[in-house]
Formats: sequence, structure tokens, C-alpha cells
Amino acid sequence: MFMLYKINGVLLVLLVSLSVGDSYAQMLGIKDTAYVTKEVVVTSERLSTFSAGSKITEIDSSAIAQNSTNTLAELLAGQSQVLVKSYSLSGLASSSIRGMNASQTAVLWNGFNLSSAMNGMQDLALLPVNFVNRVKVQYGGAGALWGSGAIGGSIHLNNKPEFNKGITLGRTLSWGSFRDIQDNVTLEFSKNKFISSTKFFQHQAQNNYAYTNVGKYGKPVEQLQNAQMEQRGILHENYLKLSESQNVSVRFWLQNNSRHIPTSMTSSTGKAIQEDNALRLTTEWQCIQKKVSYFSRVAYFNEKLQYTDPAISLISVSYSSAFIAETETKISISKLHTLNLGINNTYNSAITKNYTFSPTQNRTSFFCSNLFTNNSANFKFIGSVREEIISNGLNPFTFSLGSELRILKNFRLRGNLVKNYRIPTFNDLYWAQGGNPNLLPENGYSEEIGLGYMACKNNFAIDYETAVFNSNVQDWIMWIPNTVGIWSPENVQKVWSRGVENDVKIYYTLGKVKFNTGFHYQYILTTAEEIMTKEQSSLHKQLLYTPTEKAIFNFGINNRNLKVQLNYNYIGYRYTTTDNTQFLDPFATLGLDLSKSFTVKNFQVTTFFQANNLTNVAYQMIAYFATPGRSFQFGLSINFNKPNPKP
Amino acid sequence: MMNLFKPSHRLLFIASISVATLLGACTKKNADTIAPVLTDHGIFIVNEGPYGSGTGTISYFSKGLNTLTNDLFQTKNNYPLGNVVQSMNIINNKAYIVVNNANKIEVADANSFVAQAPITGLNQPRYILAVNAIKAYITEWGPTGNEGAVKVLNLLTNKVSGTISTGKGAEKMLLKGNFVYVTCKGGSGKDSVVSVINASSDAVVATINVGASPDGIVEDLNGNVWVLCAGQYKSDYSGLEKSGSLVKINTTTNTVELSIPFTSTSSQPSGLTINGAKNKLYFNYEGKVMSQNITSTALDNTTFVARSFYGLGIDPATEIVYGADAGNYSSAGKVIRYNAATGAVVDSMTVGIIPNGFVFR
Repeated sequence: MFMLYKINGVLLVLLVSLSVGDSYAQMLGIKDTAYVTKEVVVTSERLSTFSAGSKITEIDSSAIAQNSTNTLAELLAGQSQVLVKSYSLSGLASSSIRGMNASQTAVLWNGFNLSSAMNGMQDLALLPVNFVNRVKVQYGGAGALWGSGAIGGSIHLNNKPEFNKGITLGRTLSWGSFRDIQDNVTLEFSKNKFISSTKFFQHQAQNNYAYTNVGKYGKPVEQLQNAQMEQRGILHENYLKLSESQNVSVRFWLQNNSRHIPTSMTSSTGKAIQEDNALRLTTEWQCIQKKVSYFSRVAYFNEKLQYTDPAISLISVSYSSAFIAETETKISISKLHTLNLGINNTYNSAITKNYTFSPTQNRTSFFCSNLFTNNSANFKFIGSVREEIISNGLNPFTFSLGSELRILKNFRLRGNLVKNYRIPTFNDLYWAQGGNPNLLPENGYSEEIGLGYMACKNNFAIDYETAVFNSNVQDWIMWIPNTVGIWSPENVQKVWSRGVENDVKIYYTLGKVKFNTGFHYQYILTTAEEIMTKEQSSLHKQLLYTPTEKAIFNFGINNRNLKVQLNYNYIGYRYTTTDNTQFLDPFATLGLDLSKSFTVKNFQVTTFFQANNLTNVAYQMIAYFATPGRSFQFGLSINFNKPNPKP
Repeated sequence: MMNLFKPSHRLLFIASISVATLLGACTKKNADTIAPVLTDHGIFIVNEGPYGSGTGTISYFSKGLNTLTNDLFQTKNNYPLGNVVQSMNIINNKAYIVVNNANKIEVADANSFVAQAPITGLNQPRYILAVNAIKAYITEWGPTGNEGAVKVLNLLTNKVSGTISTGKGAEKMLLKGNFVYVTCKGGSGKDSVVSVINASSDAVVATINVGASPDGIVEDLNGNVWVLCAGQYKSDYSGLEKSGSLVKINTTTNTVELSIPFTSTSSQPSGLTINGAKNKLYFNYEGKVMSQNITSTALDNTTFVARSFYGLGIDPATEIVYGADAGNYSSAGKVIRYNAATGAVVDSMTVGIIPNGFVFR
């Protein structure tokens, strides 16, 4: 009993600290507050405690629920300021935050970096929303916390168990346009000290949507060919409370994806197929105490990528694996100082015919953060450092300084200065023909200032934030042809990204009806400022496929169990040539989500309906790649919950 | 309840929304093109277009008016040519534009550039050549990229009437008398032959072993055919396992009369072209444009310009040398013109993305 109180004591401190910088909902406790008392397993401590000064947004749990039969690509595109570049409905979806590209965005799953050592990125179309519980986006660099690749931002996916929920059985089925069928099954046993959860999903779609082929004589309406896909996966999680302060978890994630790769409107139909198979195993031990907490986690990731293109007699098979071990400790040195110390070791290896040998890479990082909080808890200052030692001789050092100040109860001012880096990928280093083993890591500094305003009175709440940032990356890696015509990556340019982001969220309650509205707008310039080759036509020009403007507007009504949500998404001009002579037009899409729940005894039944691109806008995300017009999805979710017998 | 219309609150709203509306208000137009003017004498520039997606284009430089028109096809026809424009040829006053990844040949009037129905049903087409008034040949890499064929095109109907099997990766063609010489570069695989086809019977009459990866082919004033073989990379791409060679074919006997080896184990020669007088060869080698006298039996090693080009051409009427500079391959390329006698730059112009070749008329 006393221990439990202690745990809650720690957690309450944690929540108070969140109130300075974290999202509005937590501060106001509008969300289900019950989890506060149930919280035993801590997810991404570094993000919640040692990221003061950064802009972090959390995707609403209701949006995650609404998107349970979608992928992270669709969720982030509709609900965050992450730019998701998709080639087609299920095609490669890469993330871009603050003008940076996918390999400059870290994607972390329960603290483990998912990015492939081979290409440095994670395809968001391969991550099902129903396999994660919480999604947070950290904008801007955080290399000192997450290491290589966290330059533009980082996406944090966490699984968040709840103890003592009883037995839960759930099934969600959805049917959508273009013969899209998804089936999710959840089995969960949640006892006082033990949780075992298993989730399955199966998803298939033809993606044979009709589009006007503007790349052809007569502009015929055609159906997208060779776009079918099939995905299936299992996520099995176990959590065991060893004592009131200790817990262990084991997770197992296996997923197979088979996607046909459609070609652009300007090419003939292809027959290429890409198969991605992933096995992910993790285990973690946590010991959470008032003064000192310990975390140790280990992961083994194994991925197989097979790309087959009969048109060029190509069968390319690659295997890559990562073994990650990390241990860290959080120490409350005094009432005002909290220290985080940790070591991460990541061992990557790859086998592919595309390299002349099978490379391995060992990386050991030492990281340390110190959080200072003043007596009245309205000021925070964090200093972080990270030293990485890489087996190929590069030893990038990075640091960050961040601070937050709460002024006049409702305002908060924050800022940070971060040194970032990204190490070259295996493809950059070892690709047979062109790989350059002498590449340096990309590196640079970013700075930002944010001013937030939060207020809540009776049935009205507002959360506003404006952020201004400046970021420089030098030794930017690009593949360019050398003098004899062989393509090779080089550290060729300096990139300057800077911009303004505005986010407003308003919540309003009228009787039993809850309204929410959000408006997010960003204006970001990302330009090449120095080019180390004789080709200078892209100097001071905006980077390829990087819009300066992006805006999201959403409006939702929640009346008891009926939810209605409208999402409007605008993406501005994007250049398709580095000299900015050609571009794609801006576009806006409108989406509608409806859901209605019923509860009958232990059963909760939810029906949901999604309409995408309601106004049937023909747009291009990538030049001449067809995108779907108006489409629909209908789904049914049945959940059975039998609570544990009262002791 | 908080009043949204209190000045302090309203300010926050206005700040956010006004930024959006102000900056969102500007609109752009893709680069304007001058109304195309096609004259009797000019140069068509073939621009491949960006890799992966997007479209290639044709630029036209009028010699009489000294004007350049980019993106001629899209401007005239309101649709793009397609992905990877490999080559173009003018046959019976029509422009035949070979679009490799789109498996088609767009056909447009060579004066108005107005398109008619494209030729489809091809498998990775590369080049087209008229062999007589009613027949043309189209080289292809085949459905797997690892085959080689010449498709026979009826020029009266623009329909494919037959297929001739050749070496792998059939590439460039040269018509000499009634015989068509086809370099077989290997496509996605490897090959080292020139297939010789009788243009009347559409039959392969000879297969000549030249060097690895034969690509460019020209005829000199003595009626000899020159083939530039690029050479072949080792399987791990660490260098060339077979260096390039310049081969002279005796067309009477269809045998190799002379093979001049290149010594580099890293540089592949490319871009073979011949001057108007047909006595001097030009090609890229070791990052330079080299010239070679047709009477030499070894490499002249004469540097014409100390840089290389993605495409080379010589205007037979003026002897001006045209170099196509693809730049960074993802922005507008350049064409640089040189005086053939001195190697001095005449002028340069900005064309489409990845210019690779020229058609002179």
C-alpha cells in the first residue's frame, strides 16, 4: 500500500511536470483520468521528462481509435503536421518533418529506432495503427536524446498496457473502396499483476482506383494497375509486475507485407512486387522508484526486403538485422535536479547482393541529461549530451539545451538549441557501384522558440502555440553522377530550413455535446544554401517535393457515443526540379469520420464510416502518380470485456 | 466562460489565420514556354526527363531565328510525352519519339508537332530508323530487358508487322545499302555483337563479334562502319573487367577490320558521333570529349573539350559540336555549342531535364 502510494507519488510529480509543456488534454484532465492511477509501466521517459523546450504533439486517442484499420501513413497525414509522401494508397510512404526527409526523421517504437540501417528510414505504410496505443510527434532535432537521424523530428509509437482490465476480446472488420478489407482481432488478459495481449491483423486491397490519365493521348480514365497489396501481422505483448516498483515486458511482432508497385501515368504498367517481412522482439525491465529508476531494454529486429521487377529481370533480396541494447537510469538528485544517464549499443548487419560484402556496424552511445526545475515548478532547464562511437571510426558528438518557462499561469515560453547528426546509411556507404565509404555524417544546429497559451474555463478550453525555428544541416548527402557518369553519394550541400508553425485547438462543451476544432498551419522554407559541385542551378532553391505551406483544419462533434469529425488537409506548391522550374499544384482534401457506439452488458459495439477525398479532387503527391478520388470505408467493431472479479 | 472575443484572445486567432491567408494567396504558373516556331532548319533536343516519374520533353532550336522552344510536345498537344524519352527520328516529315518506359512511340507532324495516335505494343523500345519508304525498324530490350529484337513497322499504317530476333539489348542502328547494322548492348544483361539485317527479307544475315557492350555506330566517308563498345563492369562494379574498344567493320565482308582498345579500367567510352565531313570521330572518354581521325589505327588521345557530356552531336551543315549537359539530373539541363575547329564555346542554352541527344534537320 505504501509502495503503491510511492509510485503514484512519482507519477503525480511526472504529471505536474508535463503540465508545463505537454498537451492540453493532460493538463486539463479531459481525457480519461483513470489511467493516471493505473499507470505502472512508463513509456518513453526521455520524451516525457527530458524533452522540455521541444514541441511535442500527441495524436488524440479518439483519432487513433477512428483510424484503427488504417496505417500510420494515413493517421499522420490527417492528424499531424508530418508531411507524408505516398506514391499510391498502399505504396511507400515516407515522412518529412520541417523540410527534412524520411531518413532525417527518427521513428521509435517503445524507444527503439525502427529505421533500417540500409536506407535509414521506416516506411509508414507498413505500420498498422491498431498495433500502437499512443503516437507522439516531436518536432525539430533531438539528436542528443534519440541519436542519429532525429534531425527534422521524431515519431514516437508506444504500447501502453493497462493492468486489471479483465478479459477483453475484440474484433474489428472494415470494408472499403477498391476492395479493401481489414480484419483486426484482439485478445487480452489483464490481471492485477499480469497482462497478456495478442493482436492480429489482416489487410488486403486491390487499390484499383480510377483516375484520369493526364499523361496520355486523349486523357483517358483508367484504373490503376498492379497496385494490389496484402498485409498480415501479429503483435504479442506480455507485462509482468514483479513488485510494486518493478515490471518486465516482452513483445513479439511479426509482419508480412506484399505490395505490387504501380507505375506513374507516364510509364507503362509494371509488374514489380515488393515484399517486406519484419520480425521484432523486445524485452524491457523497469524499476521505478521515488529517487532512482532503472530501465533496461533489448531489441532484435530482422527484416527481409524482396523486390522483383520482371521488366528488368531483377530479383533483389536484402536481409538486415539490428540488435539494440539500452540501459538508463533516472535519478532525482535533489528536489530540483533530475539526472538521466544511459548507454545504447546498436549492432547492425545486412546481407544483400547489392553490396560487395556483408557489412556490420557497431554503435555505442553514451547519453546524459540533466533537468533543472525551479522551486515553484514554472521553470525548467535541460542540458543533454550524447557521444556515439561507431565501428567505422566516426564519433559524432551532440548536445541540446532546452528550457521552458510558464508565465502568468496561461502562457508558456520555450526554446532550445540542438546539435543534430545523421550517419550515412549502408546503401550510401556500400552500394555496389557508387557506394562511398568515406562519407561524413550530416550535421548541423537547430534553434527554436515557442510561445504557448492555454486556458480553460468552465466548458471552454483553448490551446494555442506558435513556434519559430531555424535549422542548418551541412554535409547533406546526395547521390550525384561523377565525372565518368557513375552515381555516388557525396556530402554535397548545406541546407537551411526555417519556418513558423501555428497550432490552435479549441474544445467546447454544450450540455452533453462536446465540440473540438483544430487549426494547424506551417510555413517552412527549406533551401540549398551551398552546393559543392559545379552545378549551381539549385542554389537558394527550395528542396524537391518539400512544400512551404501545409495546413490542417478539423472539426469534431461528440455527442455521447456519436462522433463526427471533419478533416481538411491542404498541401501547397511542391517543386519537382531542384532548380524550381517545375512544380505540382497545391491541393486540399476533405475527409469525414463518423462513428457510433452502443454498449450492451459487457459488449461494446462500434460502427464507423470514413469518407476520404469527399470533393473528389484529382491531385498529385508525386509527379504523375495517380491518387485515389472519393473513397469510403465502413467498419464494425465488437469488444467484449469481462472485468476481473472484485477481490 | 472565457470570451473568445476578448481582444487578447482574438489576437491569437488573427495571428494564426492571417499568416495562413496572406501566404497562401500567391499562385504560380509552370515555366512559360515561348510559342513554338519550327523552321526548316533546326535542332531537336531529346530530353529524357526525371528518373522514376515525370516526363521527358523535346526542345527545338531554330537556326534561322536563333530561338529555343522547350517542352514542344506538351505545349502543342496538352499532354506529356511520358517517362524516359530515349530518342527521336524524323521519317517522312513526321517526328517519331521513342518513350522507353511507356512502351510507346509518339508520332507528331515534324512541322506543327501536332500528335497523332501513338505506336503501342512495344517492349522497352530504344531507337527507330527508316529502312525504306514504307518500313522502319525499332530496337527493343524486350519484356525482361534481357532480350533483343527489332520490330518491323509499316510506315503507312504505323502498325508493327513483324519481329526480328537479334543479340541482347538491341540499341542503335545504321542503314548501309540494304543492310541494317544493330548494336546489341546487352540491355539488363551482357552482349557484344552487331546483328546485320537484310532490310528486304527482314532476316539476320550476319552476327559480328565486336567488343563488350557495343553502343554508338556511325559510317565514315570511306563506307566503313565504326562501333564504340563501352566495355563491361565486374559483377561487384569495382572496375571494368573488359575495357572499351573502338571497332571498324568492313561492310563488304561483315568482319572486324580494326579494333582499337581503350586502356582505362574505370572509364567507359560513350557518345560516338561523326562530323559532317565524315572523317573525324568524337566520343567521351575519361571525363573528356576526344576526337579521333578515321585513318588512325591507335587512339589519337586528342582532347577536344576537357569535359564530358551525357549526349554528343555534330550539326553536319555547320560542323558545330553540341554537348548535352544533364547537370544534377533533376533540374533543367544545358546544351553547350562548340566550334569544331577550335573547341571554343559558341554559346549555351537551357533545355529540358536530362538532355541526351540531338536530331539535326
